[in-house]
Amino acid sequence: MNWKKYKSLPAEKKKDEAYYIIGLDIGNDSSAIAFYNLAENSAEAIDLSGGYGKPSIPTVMQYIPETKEWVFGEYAVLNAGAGTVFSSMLARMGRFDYLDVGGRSLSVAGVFALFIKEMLASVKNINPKAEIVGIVVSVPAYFSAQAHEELTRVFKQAGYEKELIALVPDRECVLAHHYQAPPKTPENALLLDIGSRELRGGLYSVAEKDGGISVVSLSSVFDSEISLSFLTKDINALFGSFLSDDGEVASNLKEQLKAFTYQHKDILFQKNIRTKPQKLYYNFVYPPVQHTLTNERVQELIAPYNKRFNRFIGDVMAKSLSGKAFAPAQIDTVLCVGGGFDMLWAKEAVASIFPKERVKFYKNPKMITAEGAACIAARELGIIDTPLAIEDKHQLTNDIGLSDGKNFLTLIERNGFWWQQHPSKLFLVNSAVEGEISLDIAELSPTGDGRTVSKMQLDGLPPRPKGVTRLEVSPTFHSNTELTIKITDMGFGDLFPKSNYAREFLVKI
Amino acid sequence: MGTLGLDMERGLFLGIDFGTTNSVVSIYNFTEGEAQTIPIDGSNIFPTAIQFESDPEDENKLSRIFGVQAKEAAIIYPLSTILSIKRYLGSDQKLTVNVDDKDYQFSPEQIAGEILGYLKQKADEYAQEEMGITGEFSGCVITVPANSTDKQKKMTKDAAIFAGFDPESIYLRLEPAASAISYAVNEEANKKVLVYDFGGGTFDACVLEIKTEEAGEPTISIISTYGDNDLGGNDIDKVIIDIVYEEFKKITGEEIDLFDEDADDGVSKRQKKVALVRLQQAANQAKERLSQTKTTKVTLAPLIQEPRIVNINMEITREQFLTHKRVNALGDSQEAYEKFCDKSVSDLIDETLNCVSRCLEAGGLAEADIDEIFLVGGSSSILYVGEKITERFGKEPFKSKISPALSISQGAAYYCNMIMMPTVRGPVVQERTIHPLGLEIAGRRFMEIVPAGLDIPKDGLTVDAPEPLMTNHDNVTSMAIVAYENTVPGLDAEKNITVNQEGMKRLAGTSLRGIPQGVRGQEKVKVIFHVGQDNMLRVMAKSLSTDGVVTELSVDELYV
Repeated sequence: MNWKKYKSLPAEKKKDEAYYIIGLDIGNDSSAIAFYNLAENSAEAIDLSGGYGKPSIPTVMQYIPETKEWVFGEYAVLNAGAGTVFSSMLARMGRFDYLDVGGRSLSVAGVFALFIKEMLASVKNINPKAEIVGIVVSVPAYFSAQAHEELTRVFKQAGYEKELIALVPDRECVLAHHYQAPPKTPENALLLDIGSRELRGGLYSVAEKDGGISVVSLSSVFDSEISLSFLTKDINALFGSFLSDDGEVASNLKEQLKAFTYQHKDILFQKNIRTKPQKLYYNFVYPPVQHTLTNERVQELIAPYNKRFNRFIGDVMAKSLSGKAFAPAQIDTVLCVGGGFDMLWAKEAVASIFPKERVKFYKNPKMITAEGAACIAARELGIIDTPLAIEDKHQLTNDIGLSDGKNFLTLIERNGFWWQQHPSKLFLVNSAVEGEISLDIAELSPTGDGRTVSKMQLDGLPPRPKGVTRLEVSPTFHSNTELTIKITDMGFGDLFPKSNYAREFLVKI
Repeated sequence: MGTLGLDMERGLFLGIDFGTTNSVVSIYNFTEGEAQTIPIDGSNIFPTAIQFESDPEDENKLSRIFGVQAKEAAIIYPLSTILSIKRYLGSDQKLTVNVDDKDYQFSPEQIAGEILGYLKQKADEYAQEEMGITGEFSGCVITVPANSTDKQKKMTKDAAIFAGFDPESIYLRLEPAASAISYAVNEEANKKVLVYDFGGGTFDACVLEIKTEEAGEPTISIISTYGDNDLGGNDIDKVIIDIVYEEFKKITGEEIDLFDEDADDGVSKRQKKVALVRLQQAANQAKERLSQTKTTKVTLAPLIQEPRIVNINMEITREQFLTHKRVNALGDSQEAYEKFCDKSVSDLIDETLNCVSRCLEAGGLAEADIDEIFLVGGSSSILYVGEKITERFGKEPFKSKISPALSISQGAAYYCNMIMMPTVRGPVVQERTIHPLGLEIAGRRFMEIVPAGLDIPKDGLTVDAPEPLMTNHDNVTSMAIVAYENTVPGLDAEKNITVNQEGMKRLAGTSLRGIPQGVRGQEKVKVIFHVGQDNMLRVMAKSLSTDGVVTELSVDELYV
């Protein structure tokens, strides 16, 4: 049954226990799944470990060539070294790449589909008669159109039709989780999400509008240098340093050390170590050794992250669209989600800035996005009837690129945020250059409508034959409506060396 | 946070699944109206392990390390670490711990008490910090295997007292019933349910009947149970150890005996201990992995370093795992080994299915009568278990969002709720006597006193023996009082049941002393059986002599 058919069912039939409305949070490092409990009218996370560990599972797959078997999640992490391991699948979306799997070339989408299939099979573990009537997948807010397309293809290959799937930005999921009804008075909500690849922060103004929930984004900031994966790398290095005097870990132990780090890193972030040094037992080496980890050593490792995290929170509140900085007292609700909020220090950092009653910590912070995705799915299917709309002027709604009237070459993809780093791109001029050439900067809407926003006259370029004028185009945003485009001549090999030619244009979008 | 609407005089109760390998604690969360597992040291599953070391401040004192840290320490400090303590509850064996070359002795209930105490402390902290509950857990519901002996139950209770729970507020409940509660909460139809509970150290099969009444809450009653207190995941691990040990023997030409500490083979006692713990953990990992993949590697390189290096580097397939027949005692006593000698993992699983058959027979049931099958306990995640059950019953085991690892503890938390708030509604467990209980009388015959299937009221069930016991000889001054449980169905029908028949379980024995001398048959002894809701038995024997000498004894005080 697809979305539409289910949507048209009468209300009482929708509540059949065999219908499953799913929220998925597919992360680069770990993934979570939740369903909307129709009997209790709330989203509920599914514990993929069966209660034995964390409810989320690592987004890791392993192929064992000898038995032609696939292993997923934790087992793939703990048994690294036995076969080929595939990770960071989400970051590969949008490139339509291929992977070498035991000598065969398989599409990334096809391989990732196996993981998705395995995750969704967990629903059958709850109820073998389960029929999935809708899936909302949370994706990063800046996910490109190509990435959207490839991820949708992944689900299709896993056996779930396009009609069943909706991809929704993760922050929308978290907000939908918290705001099931509009707040009584308008409020400012700060969302902090410590994920595996980056720290995400956003400030929103939330109010009631026409019976629904209206969310306006005031600011949003990413920082990829205090992510969990960086922290994990540091911990891995720390654990490795205890193993040998010179800090070098023998290559045959590296994989085992990684698995060891995966299993033991939480020791650093729990309360026990504050009162008593904790012991690490390196049982994978022979003879086995032990090392005592002190709180001082842990604090030393965390300190730079802590400092940067505090600065980050300040940034989110300072970089508002209006240019006006917010003070902690102006924030009504702080939502703390993502696996990083399992760490005591992160919670304490937030608690030291905002009053306790305004901060929302969760028992399983990693599961909130998936639960929120399930809430959105329920909303789409008419189970929850309060609409939620997010308006975000920070986010680019159109592709921005170069146009010659016929062709459009993308420079900046839509869905990105103006304050992100936008890389330079190289273009070849497809005609002979003599004197002056003109280029258009254009916007292309998702529906394919192009609009020229600025014309650039490039005069004084060194004259060259057709096809050998290579220009670097570098965009720098000043605000959500204004950017500078810098054009630099890059030359073409030894025959046409680069000149000092450079021009800057102020462009308004 | 506000106060919870409950009778605080009774205090807070903690639901504890105290397992051989792992323990889980849960609490009933009043605000959410459901049982919730409390993570201990960041994890729902707490390894039932303790390690001792000398206190850094006072070398005559011991300090303790619990859980994951203790389990991991076992490899480096096998002599000061205790794992699987539940296996010792019920025995009088003292446990020796060696710390810095000094020996310390503990009773099993002391060790179990230390671990329960840690769980209580961590749960107290969690409740205060995360749930905003003031006060601490003064009471608890601890689950015990359906087939545990009175002595095991008694020692479990003692351990809980040692841990700091109020002796009046310690309740023991049966594991399968607890696991069924968390399921029955949402049940709307009458059902007969088989609980297949295969844990780290014990196996229990149990048939429960869930009855739902239109207005009321579901009632759960135990129809029958049958189990094996010495068959668990640990024994499955041993088959893998056996596979590895065969390889080890091949490599060493049988010159090293890892299981004989004193053998003159040049390998130190410590090295042997370390090797065994590593073997044990590698076997456990291999077992878990074989639930996922068809083959796994066991690498212990080296396993032994002195006097020569012995490397284990081998592959074990799922096929081998299921069919390898054990050929080494692996340090087990002759009696224990006899049970597992020449047995493969599939044989052991078949053994659990025999228990299932006995359990069905005891309840007068056939496979077709069973509506649902629950798999509980870590060992039930072995794929072959699910396959065999499906083959046998023609249906797949029930799938639940409550994990099999947590369901017992969460069920215990529901029990807690019923104790804390007697007025609340929830599944009602109809406690019943499971097997007939009785006494040995002249000619080794069994006299049934408490029949199976009697409801046990809140304050317990009291049954008088149908007739008083009489002295067998002239001038005797004491009489043996030995209580038995008839665990085998069908025997009830026969007239002359003797206590040495298969399936008769000796629960406890004592003797009534101080009976006035007299001719044979003159002195009469009245016997009263009392069964508590925790299925714990007390036997009172009273001499009815006319010249005033009256003796009263209670069986559970006499395990000396």
